[in-house]
Amino acid sequence: MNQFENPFLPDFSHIYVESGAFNFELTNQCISKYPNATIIEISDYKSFFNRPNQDFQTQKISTKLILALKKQPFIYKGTDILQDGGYKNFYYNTPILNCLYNCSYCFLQGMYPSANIVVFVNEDDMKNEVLDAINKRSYKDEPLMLSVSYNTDLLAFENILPLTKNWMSFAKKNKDLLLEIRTKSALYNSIKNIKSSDQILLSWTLSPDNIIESYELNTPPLSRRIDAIKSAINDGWKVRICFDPILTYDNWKADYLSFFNKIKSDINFEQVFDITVGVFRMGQDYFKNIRKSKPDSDLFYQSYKNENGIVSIDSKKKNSVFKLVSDNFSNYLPQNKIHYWI
Amino acid sequence: MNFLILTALQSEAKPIISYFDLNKDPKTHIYSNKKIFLLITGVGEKNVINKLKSLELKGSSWSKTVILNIGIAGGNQLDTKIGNIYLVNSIFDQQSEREYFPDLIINTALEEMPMTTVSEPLINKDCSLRGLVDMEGGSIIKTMSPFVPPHRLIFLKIVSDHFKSSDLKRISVEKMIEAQMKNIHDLIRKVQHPKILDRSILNRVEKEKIQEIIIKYNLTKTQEYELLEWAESHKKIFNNLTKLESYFTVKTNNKKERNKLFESVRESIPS
Repeated sequence: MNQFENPFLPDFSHIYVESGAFNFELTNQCISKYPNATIIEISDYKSFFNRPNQDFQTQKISTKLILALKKQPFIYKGTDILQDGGYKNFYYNTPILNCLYNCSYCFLQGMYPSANIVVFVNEDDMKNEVLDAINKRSYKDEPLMLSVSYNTDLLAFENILPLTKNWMSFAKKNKDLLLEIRTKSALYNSIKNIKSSDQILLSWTLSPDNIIESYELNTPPLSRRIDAIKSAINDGWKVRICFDPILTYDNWKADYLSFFNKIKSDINFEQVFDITVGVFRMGQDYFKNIRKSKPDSDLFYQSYKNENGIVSIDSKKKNSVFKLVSDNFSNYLPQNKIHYWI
Repeated sequence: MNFLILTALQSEAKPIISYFDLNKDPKTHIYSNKKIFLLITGVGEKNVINKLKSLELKGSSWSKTVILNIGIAGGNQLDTKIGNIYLVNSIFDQQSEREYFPDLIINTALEEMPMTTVSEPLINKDCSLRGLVDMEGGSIIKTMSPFVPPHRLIFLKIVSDHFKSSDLKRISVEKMIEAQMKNIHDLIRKVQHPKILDRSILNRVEKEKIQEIIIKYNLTKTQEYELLEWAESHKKIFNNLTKLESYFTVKTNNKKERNKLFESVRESIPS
């Protein structure tokens, strides 16, 4: 074999389909999208997804697709680590497990035993539970905020399956439902023909290009994300900008300062709905799982503090992050429009 | 990278031993050259498990090993052709009713097939099973999965029969395997990619240095684990272990002094 020859199968060379997941619309769409894929019928997605001793990063070389039926619970209450953006009735759901991207700092590699991507094809079951949660929500005077991209980047998947579009049209039919669609993708064109709605918050995570190149594998460069944001704002969408995580390392301030200056000159922040800011943080069990797999990324070999089971940078560094963001954006947005997870 | 080839029968092993010029170790009954090892397991679950246990599974390092099960199998005549080789993409163990899956990440160009592992031969029985049928695959994947990741578990089956004894009378197992040796060797070549091995941060010399510290100070298991983590972080950040080693030059006379030293290292390691 030539040393430069790629011996690996492409992503989605195989599609594993639960016996009960055949004949769903999403299953048919997916199978027709990959006519050359080998289809393997499985009884339960967990028998494939939860196998022992899988290697997340090796599976990222040739990721497989799993089509399955989601069982209860269909939605989850927000956690302490997840930013709620100030919404009291905050929930997330998991239309997809895992992500097309491979960000070094992502908790998914410690959360799941596999890097293969699970798509739950029974959307209606999930939607019915959301309707139920809307009716039963604790704070009746506020809508229910649902994050649909917690365990994935849903918009990045839009060229494969129209899940973002489906959830957007569902939200528009239910006035007490707000959606957050958080993404790093530049696929705004795939939802551009949808009329903007105040119920839907499009959130883009932005990082300096050096961070994107080093730690956000397979994601679009900053310039393409900025173009997507500008188009969305022009089309009337509420846009949230997420600096999450802001990574701290030698000279991080200089990199982030020049990054902030660039985006402030490219994006009109008066039209930005809000900003969320976070630092590197992870549940200790996920961190340990990742560290055990000896990842290539240097992120998991730094010194961190473990407070109440959350591994993160020390408070001095957190304060520096807070100050840098505050100094750079407090003239652009009111203080209550900048949310920190620091 | 090492390959451990498992066959059920001597007749399956013979062409492989000859092709790779393997020599038998009379003590272990394992055939080997530098990188390829072969073990004849015998037929069926009981034999397979006994033979694999003889490898002292827990005590062995599997971080650089690919397991390759090669052998003949029955095949449904609608799906398979006698003499053809197939890469197994799923294994249903009929006895336990469990599904197993190797990870398929290498582009082999071999035709894929699902397989059922049964406990009794199906020759001349009315068999409606699709794909391949063997008697060892389920036991091998079940036994080896805790030790070897699924991307280094490979099952290659050559169809010997369509569940009829008349098919078996016409064939020679040795010749069938021999005819597929080029395909088998091609696959072994393709699999030899560093990305499929376990990732390792410390090299052999560095691991030995850490081991010396562990012995010198008679570290506890927890301290051993922590030292290894420090060593990996040091290597990642400084690209060597020099600073870390410098902390372990003083002599300690008892556990109390050792623990004190360990604490002081914990407080002063830069990262």
